Amino acid sequence: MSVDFLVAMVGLGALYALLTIGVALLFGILGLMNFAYGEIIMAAAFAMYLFQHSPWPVAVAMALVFAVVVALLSERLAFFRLRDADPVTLMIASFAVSLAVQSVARMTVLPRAQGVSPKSFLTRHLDLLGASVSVRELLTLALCGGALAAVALLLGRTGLGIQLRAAAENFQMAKCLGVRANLVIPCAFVVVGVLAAISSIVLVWRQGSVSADMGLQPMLIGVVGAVVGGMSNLRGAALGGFLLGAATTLLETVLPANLIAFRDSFLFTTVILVLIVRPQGLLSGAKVRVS
Amino acid sequence: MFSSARSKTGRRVAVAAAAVLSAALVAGCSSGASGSESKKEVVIGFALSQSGNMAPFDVEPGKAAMLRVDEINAAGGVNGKKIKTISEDVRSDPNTVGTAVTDLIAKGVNLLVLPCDFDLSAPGATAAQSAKIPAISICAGDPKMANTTTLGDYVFSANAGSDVEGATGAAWAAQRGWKKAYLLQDQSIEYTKSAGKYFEAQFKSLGGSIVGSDSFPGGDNVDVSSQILRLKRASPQPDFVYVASWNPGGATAIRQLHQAGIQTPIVGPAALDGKSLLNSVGSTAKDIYYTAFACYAYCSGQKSPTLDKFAKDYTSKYGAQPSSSYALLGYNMVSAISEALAHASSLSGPDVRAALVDSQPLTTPVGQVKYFSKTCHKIIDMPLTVVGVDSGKMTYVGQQRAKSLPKLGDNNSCAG
Repeated sequence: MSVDFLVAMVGLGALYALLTIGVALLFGILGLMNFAYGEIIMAAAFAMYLFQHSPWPVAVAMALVFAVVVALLSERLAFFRLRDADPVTLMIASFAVSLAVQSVARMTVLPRAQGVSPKSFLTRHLDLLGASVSVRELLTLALCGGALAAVALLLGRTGLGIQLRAAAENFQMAKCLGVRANLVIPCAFVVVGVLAAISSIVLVWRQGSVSADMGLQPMLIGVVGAVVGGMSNLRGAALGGFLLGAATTLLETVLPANLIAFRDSFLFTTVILVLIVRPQGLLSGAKVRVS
Repeated sequence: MFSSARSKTGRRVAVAAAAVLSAALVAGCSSGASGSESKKEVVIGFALSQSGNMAPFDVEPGKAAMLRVDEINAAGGVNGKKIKTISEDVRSDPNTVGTAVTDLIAKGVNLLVLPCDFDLSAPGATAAQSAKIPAISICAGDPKMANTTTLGDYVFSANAGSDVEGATGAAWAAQRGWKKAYLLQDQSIEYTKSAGKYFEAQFKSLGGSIVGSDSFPGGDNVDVSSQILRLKRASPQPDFVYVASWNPGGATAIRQLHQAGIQTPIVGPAALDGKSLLNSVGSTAKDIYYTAFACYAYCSGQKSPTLDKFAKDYTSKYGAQPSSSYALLGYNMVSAISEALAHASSLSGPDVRAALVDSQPLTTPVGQVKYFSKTCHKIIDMPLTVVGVDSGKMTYVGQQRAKSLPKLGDNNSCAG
């Protein structure tokens, strides 16, 4: 295997792991399977489109702001009142949020796909162990890897992280022990917004286009990755996402050209096989909170 | 006593309901009758996408068609009859297309205009076929739209077709002296598949060779990293890459080829056209060529006063320039329809259909265009405009005709 192939494979794996973490985090803490995750990604991508002619740090900052605002608004307007509802109600509510945000975007700012100009630094190349690797692939790897490491640090080493994990483990007990729900839950949404923004920045750099329904596929990847890895275990979710991304690249490499159109059938057949053998996911946590 | 009173009330309600119903029925019948009796106007139903992923291909041709309708009406209409239009948004959803078309047929349209894509038009075309109302896709490119057996003999497309686009791209590349092609095939829709297939066959028949071919699933989230790695290893290296795709996925694929450092020229079909390609590939991209329908507004160099007038009228009517050359197809389509209607012996479905298949060459802003025949229900002959992208600008390269279409044994009634 060549270096450029490995970088592409690990890069997509890291991106998918990031998408998966964003979905799994809220499921762990709230029991919320957040189908509106794709729309948070779309909001960040829209910011990248809107500020494409500003210096790139501005566009990146605005992407973060847009994503966090949409994430927090969805929490405040929809999920706040449903905090003690059962997971199915939450899931349906997230569907509603997803469709609502998507429709509003389609009616107002994104009736059709829009192009986003590439930044010149993305087209550069580096020689790495004899192979020419694009800066874009390396940045994907660095950003997604960095974000994953930051989430690991946040959850493992900080007070907020401990509260988040405690809330994920047993929400009622954590509340009794002084974890403030009104602080922890919005914090979780902020973290999710930041993760969605980073994934979105990488997606826009790769694709160069923004549309109202662009979040659908990343969201599905997140959900499937989380199910494969184990819903209630963040490490498992990251692993599931990573494997999904790596398998996608691998399939596109080994499949003959006339079968590439059916890549997803091969991919999801594998997912079904994995779930038959391990229905709880690859690395499953102790239990899933069902309020 | 009590019960009889109640039954009386019940009877009264029933009578009232029956009266309302029959009144509605009479109203419905009478309005239908007056519509078919007077025939002071021709009604065209537009079932196009105003939103969703197909909207970029439907909205502007639809607006350009309305512009032409207004021009024709201002000049007195078709044989003294004004053209009336009824529009419904099909939201890029095949399910909605069927319902919208059924509804438009119920409203008494004489002719239907369907979305710019085979897959999306199909449900509407089937409904139109069974009602024997001619249905013209405003710009679907797949040749299956044009043979009279797949969807029916009342179904047309006002586009040259992706088979012609692929073959024209091949003819242009061969004329340029390029011998070795690499085919990058988008598998997402029928349009892209037939563009790739006909490109390959025509390029081979013109003496070129395909040094490698590859495909990607296409759609909204495109990532061609693996395909790029294989292209880099192709031996011998190609003179150009034919990207048989559509926007935004096609623009994404080209952007990723560039970002991976591939400098080989790129050739593609018309669905890559538009301002969004420029945005996606950026201002440093060069050597991208595609076979569009015209070069105007955002593209410069095609000297045609009628084309400039079209772009100017469109811009002043809608307050924005057309953002792709598909708009012109909608404009030309209405010209072709009005020509056919002027020669139709009546406005009944079969007569309008007969007039359409008997169409004569039409003078359009891009030159002579021959529309339909008995066996080929799409544009039979039309010059395509090759547009080149260089440093953030689109410029006219030249006009190219495919001359002939290779026979691939795929039931394409326009080939040979």
